Amino acid sequence: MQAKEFVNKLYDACVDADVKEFEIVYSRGASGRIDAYEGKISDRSNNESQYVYLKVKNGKNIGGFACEELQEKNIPLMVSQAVENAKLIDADDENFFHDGSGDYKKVNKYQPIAELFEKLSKEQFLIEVEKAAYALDKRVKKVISLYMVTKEGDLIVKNSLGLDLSDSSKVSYAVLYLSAEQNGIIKTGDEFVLFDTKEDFEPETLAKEAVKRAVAKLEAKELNSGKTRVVFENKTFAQFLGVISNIFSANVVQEKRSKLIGKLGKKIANDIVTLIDDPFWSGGYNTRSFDEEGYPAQLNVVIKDGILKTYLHNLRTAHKDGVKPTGNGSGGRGISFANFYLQKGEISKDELLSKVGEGVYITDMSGMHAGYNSVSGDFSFGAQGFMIENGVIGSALDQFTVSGNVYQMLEDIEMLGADLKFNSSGFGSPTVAIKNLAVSNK
Amino acid sequence: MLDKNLVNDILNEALSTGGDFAEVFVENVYSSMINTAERKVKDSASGLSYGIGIRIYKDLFSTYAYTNVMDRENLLKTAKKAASAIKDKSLGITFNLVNLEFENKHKINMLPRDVKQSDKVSLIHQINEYAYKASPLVARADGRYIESERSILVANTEGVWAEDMQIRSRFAMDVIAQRDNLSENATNNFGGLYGFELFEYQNLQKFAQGVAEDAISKLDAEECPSGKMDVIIDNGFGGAIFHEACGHSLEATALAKNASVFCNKLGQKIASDLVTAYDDATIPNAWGSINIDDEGRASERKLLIENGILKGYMIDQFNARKMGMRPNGCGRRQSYKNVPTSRMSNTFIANGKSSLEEMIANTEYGLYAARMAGGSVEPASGEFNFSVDRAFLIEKGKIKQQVKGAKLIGSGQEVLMNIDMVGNNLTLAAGMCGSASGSIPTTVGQPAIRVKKITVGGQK
Repeated sequence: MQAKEFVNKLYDACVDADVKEFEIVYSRGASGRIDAYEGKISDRSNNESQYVYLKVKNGKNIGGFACEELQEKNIPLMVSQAVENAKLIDADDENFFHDGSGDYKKVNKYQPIAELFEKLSKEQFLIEVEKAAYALDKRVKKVISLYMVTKEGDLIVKNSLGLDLSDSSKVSYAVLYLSAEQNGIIKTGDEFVLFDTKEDFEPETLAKEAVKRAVAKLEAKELNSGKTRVVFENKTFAQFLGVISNIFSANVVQEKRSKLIGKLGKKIANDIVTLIDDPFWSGGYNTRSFDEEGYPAQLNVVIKDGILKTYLHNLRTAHKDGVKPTGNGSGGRGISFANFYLQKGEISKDELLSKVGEGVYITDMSGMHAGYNSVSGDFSFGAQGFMIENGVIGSALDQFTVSGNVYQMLEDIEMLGADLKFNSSGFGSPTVAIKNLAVSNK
Repeated sequence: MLDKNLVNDILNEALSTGGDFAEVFVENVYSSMINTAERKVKDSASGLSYGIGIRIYKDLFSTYAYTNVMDRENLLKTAKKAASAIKDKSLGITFNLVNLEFENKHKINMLPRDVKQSDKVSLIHQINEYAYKASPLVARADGRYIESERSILVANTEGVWAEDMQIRSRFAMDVIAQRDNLSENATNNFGGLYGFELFEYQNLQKFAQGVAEDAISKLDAEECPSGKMDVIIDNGFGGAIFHEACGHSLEATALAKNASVFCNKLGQKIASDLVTAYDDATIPNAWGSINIDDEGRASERKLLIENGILKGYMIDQFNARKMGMRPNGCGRRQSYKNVPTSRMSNTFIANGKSSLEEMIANTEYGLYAARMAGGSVEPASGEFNFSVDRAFLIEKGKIKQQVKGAKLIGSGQEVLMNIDMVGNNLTLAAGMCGSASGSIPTTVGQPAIRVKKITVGGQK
């Protein structure tokens, strides 16, 4: 059965079953991946899949059932299970579908540069990246993993209130992960490109950065334990922002799992901190004209000059707080971020480092989810990086830990670079200097 | 799940361009989840997934395609798509699909789908209440129950036709304790290859009280000091250290590419004499167990390390081909959307002779890590990190102040060598492990162990 026909039959079945309010999401995706290893293409995959997610409202609650097998025989099961799930929920807050009203802006989403990507020989690109990686530095020990992925997807959302939206997306990226060795010590480095700049199509771009990240860690020394000034590389802090972003989610605040409860209009960060969730950022990885509840996307300034201005809401949390939704629905109870970034400052990274003088520069963090407690804000991560000595980046450091408290850290942000960079999950940051964090190794 | 003749045709189509091996993996999963918050059901969702992955090898080249549009025409098209990556003449391989016979070691008493949803909800509320009753400081106790019925079929051109059904249930609890402006949370879970009878094997009251006590005790915890010190890691989830520091580096995924610190070390000493470790996928009803792996091979109990000597690896089918070794039933994947590779099942350090009390009494200054959270590792360098959820300082052989926010870092090679005491209180703990072929159920385990001089990071 064709997907469209299935969706229509499911719609009719809901009406026939006297379901008053419901929403149907249809998603289709196709993806391909090519792996290169030791001068040859070693693996290839070529995939497609689809699903339909039915959500029904019963009283105040919404229950759902997802189904991949789009066969007519599954329609009664989907309807009955979704209704049963909705009936089981007895939470006090009311859930909603959106009726499609409001201003849906046209947006310019991320996409790979089409004319260059079509011409690109993917196999040759990968083989050349591998060659370049080995040629760049004789300490490169092994190109462990090197692949290119292309994905495309279509989405249709329609509901009984009149919402009828569709969207499509395209992503292409290449990933390189390698190791370098010196005197028996092995370190790793990785990098990816998203083919949205001309440089990404040069095999050297990917190879250079991954090699740089791996070999820089060789000849590392141990770091003394204690509190110090810490500077985060822009994309490393962007990753950090992604991990801690949930403290700004209204559902987390309402569940009392964020300490930002009751802090609207209050100062929660240093004056230089402005934090924005921008769904309209041109070419952004999470640029969108509507959220996963079909609500029109909006620009949200979350922190303005250190003052907390808003939480990010879906339909349910906005109603509970008596405010307008912010266009951050995730399709479930949670929040989805658009392009969420820390606004850049005015000085270059080098200037920032020279002002910091002495400290630690962090370029990699690991174990972030397990090492972060969102209720207390405490974090402790594995980290890699360099000494900052006499205002410049000095010797590499063996793996160390970095610990602190997120809420305190917001107040301790003392300098921001002008080099805003987004990671592939849509979180962005410039180089960030923090006054006082605990580091440990020796 | 799929007609044998159709599977035959798919496999033949897959071999048509010169592949020397083809495999079909069909998976049908029904899953359901109930989430509670503040004494209410806040979420209930379920779903059905059904799809196929087709894999072909030609020497050391592999190609894969998956789809969930399951009509004959599209399945043959998908096989053709996978095969199109090979451009040769058919090798004329013939095969006859024969049912793989195996004993079901994981008997299920109560199929989750046969139990009324309202009965499940009542039980979750009951467990939540045990936590609320434990102390007035408990502000929230939120239980979450997940269950899945996963049917798989593996058929390949070596004549294998293997079918199994894996039923798993898991309960997790998150407790928030509050006093004045302070709040702390703690989580714990239990799960297994069980139906709803999972709950009969647990002391539910003790479990809930334990999570509540964990959360409450953190209210008085101080910041953890930083530096190198001796660390005693207690049993159960403490095995996360072996999982991260060693387990991943013994998977063929890393070994076949010479990207593991334990490459070419079979028969060599890689750990302290006190360490013997297994990956055992055959333990009846354990969370990480399987009858057959996702490549249609019977699961095994694998000796990894014996008295410090490296004895074995975890090897999947394709990496076995690359390494010239025998696959040992550990090819696993999250779903048909993932290409399977070597993965852990129930991985643990075997019992030693020391008691936990002895270990603490013999420690001058250090950290007692009573409960671990998660972590990660880079097999190529051996560098790992992981978080300690519940920890205490040890001074002069006695347990002292509770501390929070401890992170342990180091390299797997060093930690294994630096284990100088192994306890006698082995237990297993359920978790999810994310790696190349997706997120899969695994258990970690160990008795208490003491590691000399490991880097501890905290806020102090």
